[in-house]
Amino acid sequence: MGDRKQARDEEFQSFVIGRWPRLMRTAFLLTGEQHAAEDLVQSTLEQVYVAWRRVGSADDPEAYVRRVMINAHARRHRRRLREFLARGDDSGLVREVADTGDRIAQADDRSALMTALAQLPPRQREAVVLRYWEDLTETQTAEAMGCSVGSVKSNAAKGIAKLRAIPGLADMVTQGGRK
Amino acid sequence: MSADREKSHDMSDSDIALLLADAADEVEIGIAPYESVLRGGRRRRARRWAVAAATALVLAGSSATLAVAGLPGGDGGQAATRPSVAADADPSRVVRTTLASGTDQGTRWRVLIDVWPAPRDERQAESQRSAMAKRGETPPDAHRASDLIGKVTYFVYRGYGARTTKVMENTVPESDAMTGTDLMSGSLPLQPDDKADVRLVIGYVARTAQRVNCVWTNETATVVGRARTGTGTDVQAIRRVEGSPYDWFVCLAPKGTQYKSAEVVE
Repeated sequence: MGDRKQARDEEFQSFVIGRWPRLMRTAFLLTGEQHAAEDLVQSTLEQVYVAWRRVGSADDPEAYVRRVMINAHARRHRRRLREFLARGDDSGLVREVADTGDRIAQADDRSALMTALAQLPPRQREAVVLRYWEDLTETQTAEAMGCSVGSVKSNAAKGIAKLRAIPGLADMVTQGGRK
Repeated sequence: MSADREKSHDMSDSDIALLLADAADEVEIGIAPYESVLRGGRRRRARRWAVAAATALVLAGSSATLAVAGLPGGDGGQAATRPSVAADADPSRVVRTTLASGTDQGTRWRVLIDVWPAPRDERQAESQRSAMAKRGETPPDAHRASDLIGKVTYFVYRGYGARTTKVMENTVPESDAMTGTDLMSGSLPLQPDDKADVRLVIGYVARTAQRVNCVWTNETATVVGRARTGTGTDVQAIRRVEGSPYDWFVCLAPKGTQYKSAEVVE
């Protein structure tokens, strides 16, 4: 029994160490900030630890982890939104949820993309990151986001359209990304 | 639609994927903070299990295996204070200890702990689980009897008048230990039906801890010292509990004030 627990702990440790880089990159795209990304990944893994006995032996632990991370990300945004509402902080509210028609003034490096990502409403950002960075299918993305495939399509399409509106994005692409 | 087909993005969007990959490389990966994740995970587990009864659960320090649960049910029993630790106790026999007792507005209250010694093998574990079941005690997080081997299981009860409620439970390795100023405590109302009046604090500390400070919302504090030989259960104290890898304490906020914090101060 002790051996089983030890084996499970070792398995979890390997999982944490092995997945940390990838999870950090995903979290960075979701949050746009180093520390926020670290917080998001750490709290995700803490939740995974609680359920590890079940998750570790599941066919697809990755799917569970993605779901937890997206939920945590969504919760943080809901909380932030409530805080903005409570404070009556209009500027923050607009920045967070506006269907932005604003254009990024300068977009000649990857920070422009990050800025644009940060301006997407959370669900659009999640859909774009899961579909185009995690390379998930629409069905897998829908499972991670806890929504319908139709909603994924719609959110991803809107998100992509807004990213495409970044001036200079086309140049970046033709040059093969960042210089 | 096949997964492959579904996955293939519009080719014109592959540039976005490249840019995202490029942007993702900006993050500093660092070393996975495994120990920190583990501590956080254990705290989460403790919080999750504590929701049913303890209003607040506090952890100080970091070395202990943490999990405390609250469940309704259970019934009263004879209280007996047993200060010493048996060398090789019978795993099918529970040891009940009174951690504290008193009178609140004319009603007797007490806090009891049942400790089940660690079974050595499957047979003992089976026997222990049956004995627990007869008392209405179910070990948390032990799906098979063999999960109990080498582990101590405890159940903490709050008795108020004729009602006794199970408020904490856990199964921990026999070798588990608290060190230094480690402290794990749960705070809850003294009266079972009173959801708001959080006056009772039940916790455990290292064997070496000499004093615990319970601070109340009116900024006063109750200092709990070590129980000496003959110290009655009506004196709030840190007590050795037979079979438990930790020492336990209980403190009660004066009427009109509530729990704020608890820490080992010596």
